Amino acid sequence: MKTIIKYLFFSCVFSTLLYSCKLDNYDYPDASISGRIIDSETNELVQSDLINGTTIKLIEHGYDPVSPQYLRVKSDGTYANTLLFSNTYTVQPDSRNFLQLDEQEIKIDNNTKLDFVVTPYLRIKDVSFVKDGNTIIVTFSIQQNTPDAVRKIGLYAHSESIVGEPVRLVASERIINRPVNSEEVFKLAINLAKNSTFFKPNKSYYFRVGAVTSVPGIKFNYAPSKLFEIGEIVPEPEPVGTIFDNCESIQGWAGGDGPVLSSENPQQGSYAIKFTSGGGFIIQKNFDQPVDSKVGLEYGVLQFDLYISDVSLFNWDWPGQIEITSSGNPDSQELHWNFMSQLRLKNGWNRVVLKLSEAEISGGNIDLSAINFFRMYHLDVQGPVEVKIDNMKFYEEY
Amino acid sequence: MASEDGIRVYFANLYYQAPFEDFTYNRVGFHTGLVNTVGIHPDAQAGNAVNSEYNHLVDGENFPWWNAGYKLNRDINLLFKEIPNISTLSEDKKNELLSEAHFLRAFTYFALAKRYGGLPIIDVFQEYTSEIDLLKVPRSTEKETWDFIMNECDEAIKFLPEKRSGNDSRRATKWAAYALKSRAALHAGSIAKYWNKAPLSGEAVSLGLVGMDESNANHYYKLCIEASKAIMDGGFHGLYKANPSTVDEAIDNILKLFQDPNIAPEEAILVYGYGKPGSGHSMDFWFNPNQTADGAPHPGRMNPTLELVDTYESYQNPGQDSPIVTTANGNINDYNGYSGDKNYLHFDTPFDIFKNKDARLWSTVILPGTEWKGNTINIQAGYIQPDGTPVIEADKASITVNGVTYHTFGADSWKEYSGFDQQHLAEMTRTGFSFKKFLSPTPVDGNSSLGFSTNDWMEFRYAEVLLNYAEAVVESGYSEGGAQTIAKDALNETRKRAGHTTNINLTIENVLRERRVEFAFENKRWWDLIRRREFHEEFNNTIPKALLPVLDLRVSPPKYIFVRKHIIRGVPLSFDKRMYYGPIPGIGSNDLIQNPEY
Repeated sequence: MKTIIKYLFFSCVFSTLLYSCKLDNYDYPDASISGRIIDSETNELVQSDLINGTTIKLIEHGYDPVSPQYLRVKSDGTYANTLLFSNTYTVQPDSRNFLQLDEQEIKIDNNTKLDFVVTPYLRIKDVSFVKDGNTIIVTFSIQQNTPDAVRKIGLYAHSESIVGEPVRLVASERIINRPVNSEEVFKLAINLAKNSTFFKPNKSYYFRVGAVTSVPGIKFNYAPSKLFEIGEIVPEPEPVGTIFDNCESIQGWAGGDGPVLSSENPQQGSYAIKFTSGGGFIIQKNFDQPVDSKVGLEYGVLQFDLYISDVSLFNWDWPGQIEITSSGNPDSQELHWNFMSQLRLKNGWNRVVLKLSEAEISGGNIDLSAINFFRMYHLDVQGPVEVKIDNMKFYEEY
Repeated sequence: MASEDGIRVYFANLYYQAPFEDFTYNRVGFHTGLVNTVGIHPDAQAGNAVNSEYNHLVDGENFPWWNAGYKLNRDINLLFKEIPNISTLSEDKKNELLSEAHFLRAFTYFALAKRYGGLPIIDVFQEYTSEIDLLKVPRSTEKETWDFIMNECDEAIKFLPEKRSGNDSRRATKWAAYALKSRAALHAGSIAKYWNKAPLSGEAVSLGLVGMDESNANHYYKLCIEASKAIMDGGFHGLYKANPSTVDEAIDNILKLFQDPNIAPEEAILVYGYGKPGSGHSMDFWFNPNQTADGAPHPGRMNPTLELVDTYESYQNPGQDSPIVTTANGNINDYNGYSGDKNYLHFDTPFDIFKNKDARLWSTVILPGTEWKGNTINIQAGYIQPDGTPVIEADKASITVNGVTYHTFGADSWKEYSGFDQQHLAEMTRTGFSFKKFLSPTPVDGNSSLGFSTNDWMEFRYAEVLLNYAEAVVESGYSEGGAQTIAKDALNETRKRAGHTTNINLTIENVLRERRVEFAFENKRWWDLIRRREFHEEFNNTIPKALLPVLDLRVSPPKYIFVRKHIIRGVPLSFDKRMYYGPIPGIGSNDLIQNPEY
């Protein structure tokens, strides 16, 4: 059976392949067109994608109806089609990442050249790559040439130079959805160790930065790609980060039936802070000395270890919260996260990792260099629980 | 066609041509039960599974249905011309037959509209003339097309009977017409609501041939709500075994429902039947695990993905996806494979890690080390040697530790295991999961050839009506007549049938999760991703994921660890936004305006 199926399969393939092999007596295509997409301001090529990028529509005259032909522009902004027939054509870019041009009629014959001088929707400027340990970091700015919002920015990596949003091994993207100022500096990063399935040591990879406007159907704009020989990838150590509270003292802590130091199985140092409560609880710490987290909102992470004796007592649909502020009080200059079922807590110790970029802001912007308040509460708990907290820190994660 | 028997034969042929997306439907087309499809199931193109051998394509040439659709439409239109002239039929009978024709026409146009958008609406039997241009009908807008479908459903509902029996039991009832309207209206509402997530441009868009304005969404959601409610209040349909007393009972009920839907007339609203072995479908041929192939030469081709398995709720954490946690730090986003540095959780069996997961996982997916058709299905990706050397997804090997011999894939002979051996890759799961929904629990006679599966297919079932209702209510915010409460109950009914005891809230995340797990492998996922414009997000350089069970021989007695990783031989898959609509064939001669970017 297997042989029969394979045989059938091959016979289908061959009959398809051979179907068009009969010779005809038509002339061979004798004409070609090639050219470039050029930025009217910088005179540089307008980069694009091979897949899902710029295409040019050609309509050959003398036939009706006629199906248009589409040719793809290469990712570097050049194009060529060497299999055309000499004739007059109507030519216009079709899918594109620049403002539309008028149709033009052109006679295409042997080696016709046609450049398009265009205004890209977005111009990606001042691109600077650095490799810091396991991380490739890029900074850049964006110049908008229409008032439309920038929808998304991304850093893309692939082993081939056609790297971009549609063709990549690894992407680091951020949704923007607002107009940007050409002075604003954006930062994106890809961590090699965290993507070790895709990055092999001592091989070279292309990295390219792109951005796309929110105008429907408009494609990505890019800066030229950069080739990196990535060298050795060392295992990613646990980040040292900045200590928020190492939980070796109860000073400043309050809540539950009062904090005590617990030396039973701390996750770091000699102690954890332990609370007991007959039900719902509010746990907080006021910091005498504000903590400079040394992290930014985009890549910063708050991490701590949290012990809960019995998670089944919690109503996880009830909106508990975890908060940090720089006002010394709740609800002002605050970042907060839900303390709900999305944390997937289990009985015993859990590592809680909260991205600052995923936090909600309330009561104005937090000063990440002067954090002085932490609070965690859950008020719908159906019985006595023991809660411990330890090893609180901030770090940047790429 | 002058006699009632003649009309029945004519209708039987129309039902055969109708676009039932059943067991024999896949990317190649309809009625592929006897075709070598290499076992690529529609859900294996929508993220619920992968094929063991092929990296399924997600391309715009899949699932085409244009010429066959218009041929069927012509055959249906003949009924509207002829039935009024048949003098032997009573007026009531004529009305009933015309309503049935309206049902088939709605079904046909729905299948066309979801593929191509706005359509040429041809609702009379065209007489051929030499003036070809008189036969050409331009496309209506997408909105006009959906309104036509809604209207056709209403005409079907008018005179179709509430109950069918005997030889007519597979013909459409009033409830089937309501169910079709419920499904089609939800599709239309979703397109209006989510068009802007993946807008297209070009002539077809500016003329409204594809796309609808968001302001139309709630109109269609309301039609879905009303049609669904008519079935929910109708008293003829309900869930099969809605109140199991234990999870094990729920697992068994759900397995049986799909093995033979004829046991569940309350759930089945429209059934497509198979009769003769040898001209049936081939689910048992392609999709049994390697160990229980019953003679089929190419089994094991349905490999459910880790993404799907993660989605099933845990009874302990209702209202959440419950991803499989494999390491002490709980990181579920690391797909880089095994590393000696990571602290893996240890389990006594290869299936303990799935404890407390939803009954539907257990009745849909064959989990590693569980029983199926009297065999323990061995799915193991390798072992860690006592010295710490990992042998995972590698060539077959064995090792003796303390006098006991262990094999990388869980057994010595390749007929006695079902996963990961790349020497027999076509028959082996590469995700760590195999498949059992719809499959016969007993050996299938003749299964060494295609077409010997004969269990029937439910095209519409009551659970879909419930979840259509819930989705339409949550998406539109509709609240008349206590709709919010009824929708929450509807959402929880299918969960309760699966052994859940805690109700969850009516949120879009909860509804979509419930829909994905309830209808897994019922060919719904492709269209859900299309209509909600989620395909390009789900498939954006996406490599499907596997869960590798690995025997850890560093501990005694050995225990199982699990590795989350990308599937072996995986390639990144992307969905091109233009594929939200397919290319219309024959543009050169039919003068239709083509869909964008073709």
